[in-house]
This record gives sequence, C-alpha cells and structure tokens, in this order.
Amino acid sequence: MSLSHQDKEAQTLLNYFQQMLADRLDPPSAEAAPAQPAVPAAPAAPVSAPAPAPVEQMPTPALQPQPKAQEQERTHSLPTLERSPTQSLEQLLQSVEAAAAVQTEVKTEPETAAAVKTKTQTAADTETKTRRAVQQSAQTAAVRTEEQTVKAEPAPALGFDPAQWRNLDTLEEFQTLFFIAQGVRFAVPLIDLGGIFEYDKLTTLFGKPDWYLGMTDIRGRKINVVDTLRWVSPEAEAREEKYPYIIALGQSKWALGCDELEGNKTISRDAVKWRQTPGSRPWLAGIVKDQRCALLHVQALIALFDKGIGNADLEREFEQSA
Amino acid sequence: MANESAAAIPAGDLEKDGELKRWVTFQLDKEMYGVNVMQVREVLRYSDIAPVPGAPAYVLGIINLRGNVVTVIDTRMRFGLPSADITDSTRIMIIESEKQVIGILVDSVAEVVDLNSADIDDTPNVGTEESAKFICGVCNRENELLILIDLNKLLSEEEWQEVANL
Repeated sequence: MSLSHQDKEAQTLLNYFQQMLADRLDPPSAEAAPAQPAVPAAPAAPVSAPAPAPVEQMPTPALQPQPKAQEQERTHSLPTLERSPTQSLEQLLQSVEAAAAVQTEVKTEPETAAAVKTKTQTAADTETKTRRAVQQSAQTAAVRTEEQTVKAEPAPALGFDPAQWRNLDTLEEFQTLFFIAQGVRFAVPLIDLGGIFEYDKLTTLFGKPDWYLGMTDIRGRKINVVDTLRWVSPEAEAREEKYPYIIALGQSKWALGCDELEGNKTISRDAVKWRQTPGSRPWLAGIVKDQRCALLHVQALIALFDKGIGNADLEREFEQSA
Repeated sequence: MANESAAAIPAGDLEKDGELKRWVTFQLDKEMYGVNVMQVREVLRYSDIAPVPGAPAYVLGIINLRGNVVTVIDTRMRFGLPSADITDSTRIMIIESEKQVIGILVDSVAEVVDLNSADIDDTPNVGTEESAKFICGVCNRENELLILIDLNKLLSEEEWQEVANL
C-alpha cells in the first residue's frame, strides 16, 4: 500500500511538472521570443501553475534568499523584475528573457525527472545570475544617482568643494588648546598643531588680503601669520600691534595670531556640538559647549589659507549659491 | 653697476641650485626689499622730479639723466604703501628692465648682498591685488626677511608702453 501511494505521489508530482512545462511551452510566441521589451503584462499571461508567486508581491529588485523548494516557482516570476523603473534594469531583464528562451530550448528534450531537475538547476542558476546582475544594476543606478546629486551642487568657484568636507576625526577624548585672539576665544585640537611660538619681527608683504599679517622666520621656516579674528570676522577692526604668539597649524606654513594662551584641556567628543555640513564655514568643526567657543577645523583652515580664501569670500559664495 | 646682459636675465628667474645672486637692498616703509643687481644701473640722490600732466597716477614725473629723460615711478603707490615725505636718505634707483630704463623712488638704499637662491622661498599665493605678483620671493637676511622684487612685473605691458610714450 505504501509503495503504491508513493508511486501515486511521484506520478502526481511528475504530472505537475509536466503540466507546468507545457504551460511554459504552449505559448511559444509569447515566451520564447527573445529580448522582449519590458512590458509588465507579457510575463504574467502564461502563469497558470498552482500557487505561482504573484508578480506584484516582489517588493524590490533586491531579491531575498528563498527556500530551495520555491525556486522552481520563482522561475515564473523572474520577468516581474521588468517593473523596475530604471532603464538599465530593463535592459538587464531583456537579457534575462533571452536566457529564458535558451532555457525553453533545453526543455524540448524528453521530459523526465532528470530534465526537470536540470531545468530547476538552470532556473536556479539563472536566478542567481539575475540576483547578481540586479544588485549590480541597482548599485550602478545608485552610483549614477549619487553622481547626479553631486553634479547638481553648485560648482565651487573658490575651489572649495563642500562634498569633500569631512569633520574632525578625533578620539573619544582629545586634548584641545584654548586661546584668545582680540577677545574672542577659540579652541583647536592639540594634535593638529605644529607649535606655539613667540616671534620678534613680522615682515608685511604688500598686495595681500587684510587678514594676512605677514611672514616671520621661525627656526629657518617662513611662517605666514593670519589675523585670526580678521579672517573669521572681516568687519573686525584692523590690529595695530602684532600678536604676541602665533600658533602654527600642523606642518603647514600657516599660523594663527594669538593674544593669550588659556592652556590645553582634555575634552570628550560629547562636549562638542559637531557640525554635520560645512555650510559657509568649513573651518568650524563645532562648538565646545562648556567654553562656548569655536572648535577650529585645522585641515580646512590650511586648505582655505593656501587658496587665499577668507571667511568673507566663503559667505559671499554661500549666499550666491543659496 | 649695470651690465648690458642684464636685460636677458629676468629677476624672477630664481634658480634653486644654490647659485649665489647679488641683490641691491633698499627700504620702503618698514620693510627691506631687494632687486637683482644686474638690473640696477645707478642710484641717485633725490632731485627735483618734473611732473608730467596727464600721466598715470603711479608716475611721479621725469628727470634729466645726462641728457636722457627718465620716468620716475612712485614705488610706494605701486606697492600700495602709504606715501611718505622726502628725506635726506631718499634715493632714485635707475633700473633697467626688459622693457626700458625707469627710475623708482625708494626711502633709502642699503647695500648689495649675496643670496643663495636655495634660500629664497616663495610667498603664499593669496590676494588678488595686482601688486602681489611683484614679489618673487623672500629670503632670511640677518634676522629679518628680505622681500625680493621682480622689476619686470612692476608694470604691465600696457603700462610699460604708456610710460614709454610719456
């Protein structure tokens, strides 16, 4: 009895697969036509197999792993990926349909259980390839979209690209130097500094912006000194006396003028309100909450100094682009 | 002091191979400047400069140098520096650029120095002022920085032509 029952089940299963294969083969003009254009109605018509995966139920082109038992049913739903809106995806699916046509030719062989297995395996391979191709296509589309987004931003007339801006990458706790320039307190991460110097003579160079104080020689290195407050705030009054100290920025040739050194302090990242976008002030990494002062972005400052860009230029550029 | 081949050697052509070059230093305002000695013909005490009606603002006037008319440039104005009174140390440096011979008025002339071209550094490329390009480098000299001037860029092509037609 049990053997006879198993035979019946096997026969039923075989009939099911044969029926499904017949369904696939019967409308040859609709199914076997290679490289059909992406028309959503075309693939749904021949689906008559029991419990097919509804084409509308596939939420996104990014296919999820499915149990092996469902893979055969999924072969019917593969063309539903045509619903993807991107053109590259449609082109991709055209190639998938072409692969399905090849698969149809394979199915003209004698319909045995082995053939069914072969078909299932082929369909699984096709689905795997399709998944990879769809993922690649989706990634390509995402990259293109990102590129278009970047291109859509206004061209940086000053040579400063907001898309390239990254805020400071510090440890959870980092040492910060606090200093005062013309009554205004600033903070700067100690690790970004090249030294603090006193200097005797500052050589002024004509033809330079107001914020450029001049050049001084520090141990054989020519250091350009910036009027810190004048750079940040162009409306600040011109400084009559030279700054007693200069704070060298990294290994660059730039230094900030400083009236008073308040000392260094270890602060945590939580103590700073970090900026997420550069806005019109890429030189501002954030605000130190307790001291209520600007935390300077040294690398951005150096880049701006090298290009001769003042804060007034940045604000003007930002207003024009806004 | 001058040499006929001076015009063929641009002052701004700073070689970085450690070659020594001679520079005439002079003072303007609070800073010391240097020009290539090969471009300096002579240094004159201040004498009356005859103004030229309709001349550009940077032209102080003309002088008679042994029968030749030489245009004198207001260097302070050209460099964007405030004007100053004429003193006993004021000098007119007669220089020979690639274009022609002109005079530049300076506060004083100091000395002739030898500078190793490897010690000459560039200045930052900041500022849109036309005068910024006159500076061809800086060099440390006895605990102060000497600003080196490229005289050929002191005037633009049109300005050289304008001065020539005075």
